[in-house]
Amino acid sequence: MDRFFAQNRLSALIDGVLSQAEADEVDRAIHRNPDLATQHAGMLQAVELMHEVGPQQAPRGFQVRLMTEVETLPVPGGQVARVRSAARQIPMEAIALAALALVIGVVVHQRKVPDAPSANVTPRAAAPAAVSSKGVVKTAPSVEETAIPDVPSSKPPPRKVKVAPPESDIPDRLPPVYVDLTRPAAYKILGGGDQVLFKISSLGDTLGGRMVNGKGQPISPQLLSEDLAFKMVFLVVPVSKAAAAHQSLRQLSGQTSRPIQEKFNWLKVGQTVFMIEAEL
Amino acid sequence: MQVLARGQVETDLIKGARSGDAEAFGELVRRYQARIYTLSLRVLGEHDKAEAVAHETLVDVYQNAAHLETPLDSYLYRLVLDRCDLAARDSGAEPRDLEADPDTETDGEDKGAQLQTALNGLSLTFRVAVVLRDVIELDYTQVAEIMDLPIGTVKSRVHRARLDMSAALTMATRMSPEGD
Repeated sequence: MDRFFAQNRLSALIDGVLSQAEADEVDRAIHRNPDLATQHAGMLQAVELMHEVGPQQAPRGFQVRLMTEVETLPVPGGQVARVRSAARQIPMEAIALAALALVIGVVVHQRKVPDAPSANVTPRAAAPAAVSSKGVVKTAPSVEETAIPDVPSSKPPPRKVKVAPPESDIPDRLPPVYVDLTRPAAYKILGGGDQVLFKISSLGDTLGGRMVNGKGQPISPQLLSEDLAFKMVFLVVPVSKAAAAHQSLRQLSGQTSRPIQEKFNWLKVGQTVFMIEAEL
Repeated sequence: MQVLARGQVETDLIKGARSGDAEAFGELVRRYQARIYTLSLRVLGEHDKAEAVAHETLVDVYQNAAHLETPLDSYLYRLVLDRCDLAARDSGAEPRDLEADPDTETDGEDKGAQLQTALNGLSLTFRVAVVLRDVIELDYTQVAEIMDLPIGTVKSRVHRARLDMSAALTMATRMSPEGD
């Protein structure tokens, strides 16, 4: 086998796809020709380097950031997605005209109908921190119109808010969890392992709260196994316990721990949610 | 048997993702994120761009989950490469030598940088072929399918890319202080 043919078969030799006879011939050519031997050694070095370095881990928090965005998107193939897709086909001028007509309609309607005050309903604005309507995910189905009497009312006109019925009334269903995924308070567990999750879980128990997944379903640290090594976890506690929970959650930076920097989110149902990034 | 079971799990996950199950999609992400990120990193040569491409690709996949194709890995790699192509055209610059990512710093960082420098010397088409073959470790048939090229062309590109990388690595060794 001449040098040209042998050179063209170096890759195939490294891949191990040559027949035994052909591989022997290329080997002999390599031993006869120092340049060919250098090329072969160099290619082998390059291939070994690529295999050795191999696939890289995705950056820390990659999946959390991705899933946080995904959770705010309409369910693919769902009604919202189809409506959005259809909406893209409508010209902007038509949308602007429809919006204008809607605004005029609302203004006319408000002038005709006097305000109907409600004595025992709570204004949404009284909540200590607002959860933006954009990106808010409602994860449990059943809600009923009721009032929250323990939150003081303020100047904005009163309106009803949706809150969950007591858990005791619907033992098989969870109260709705509203999670503002666009502004999560993140508490990362990247090296603490499941012991940290157990601590957070017991903190939730102590404060009358619970750990849930992105759908508001309860989870326990035991669910995080090797098969399911990654989860988005939320600690939900009553608003009254939010400060205590915030103080108890600490972030490890090297050997020292410090309080988490991020503010927590408030829920519409008088609860607070802490997003926890867990990667065991 | 285990391979069959694993294949079945993936089929179920794809079905779930197609019907909008975010948890099934999340599990698929967990399985593929490293390879998707690696492919974009080695093709683009920059951590930030690679992460952006991987993120955008997967968001796009979720939004079009109803049209997920199998084999899933080939489908994902094609989408990543399309975005890499766009990103490379947008930047209009050759990839820089890779700097250490503080988030993923490891003992093999030097070798990673060495590899990236050698890859950066290749044209995009050769780089893609050799990364799919030797870094992601796909067989030639799959690489040909992803790149939509005849298998002979792929083999030829991989061969050429390995030769060029070999020369670049040899040069780098001679120029390094240890190589003097």
